Amino acid sequence: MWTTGIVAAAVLVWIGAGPARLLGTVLTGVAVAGFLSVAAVIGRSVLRREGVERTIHIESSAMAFWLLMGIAFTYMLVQAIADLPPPEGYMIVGTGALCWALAHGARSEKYS
Amino acid sequence: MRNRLRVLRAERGWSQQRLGNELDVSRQTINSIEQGKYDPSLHVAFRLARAFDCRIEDIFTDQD
Repeated sequence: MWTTGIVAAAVLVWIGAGPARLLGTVLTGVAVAGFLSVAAVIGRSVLRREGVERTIHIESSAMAFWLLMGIAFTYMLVQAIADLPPPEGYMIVGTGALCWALAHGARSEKYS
Repeated sequence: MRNRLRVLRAERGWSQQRLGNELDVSRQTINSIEQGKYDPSLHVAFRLARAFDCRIEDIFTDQD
């Protein structure tokens, strides 16, 4: 579904856009496909093996998800009150990466 | 859950890495099991029993 949505969006942009924007769309598609491929390879290789790494990966994924949700929810509430700017994409990606790093470190510490 | 993994491994002179290779798990997994911080899956527990030629109950003891 994710892939279909990306492809549909790209087609819509392509229908009504010039060459430069088309190139941008293609490059975006390549980047997204690359990211999804890396995520799939890492996820499958870790989940295929037995052992503590699999448990650490699953638990830290869950912890990172809830951490990111908590931060996003808090920002959403504070944004309405304090008139903060809407979050940019790089802020979300960076915060997500930080949440993952913290969660993975915490779970690795527990099992080592 | 308690286990006698370290004792059984020492009796045979096996390193953690060697046992890990035998069971197709990492050395970190063996270390975590020995320290009691990680309980292995049933699959790994059976492989352990087979590697040491004993029963699962001879390796693991329910703490309660």
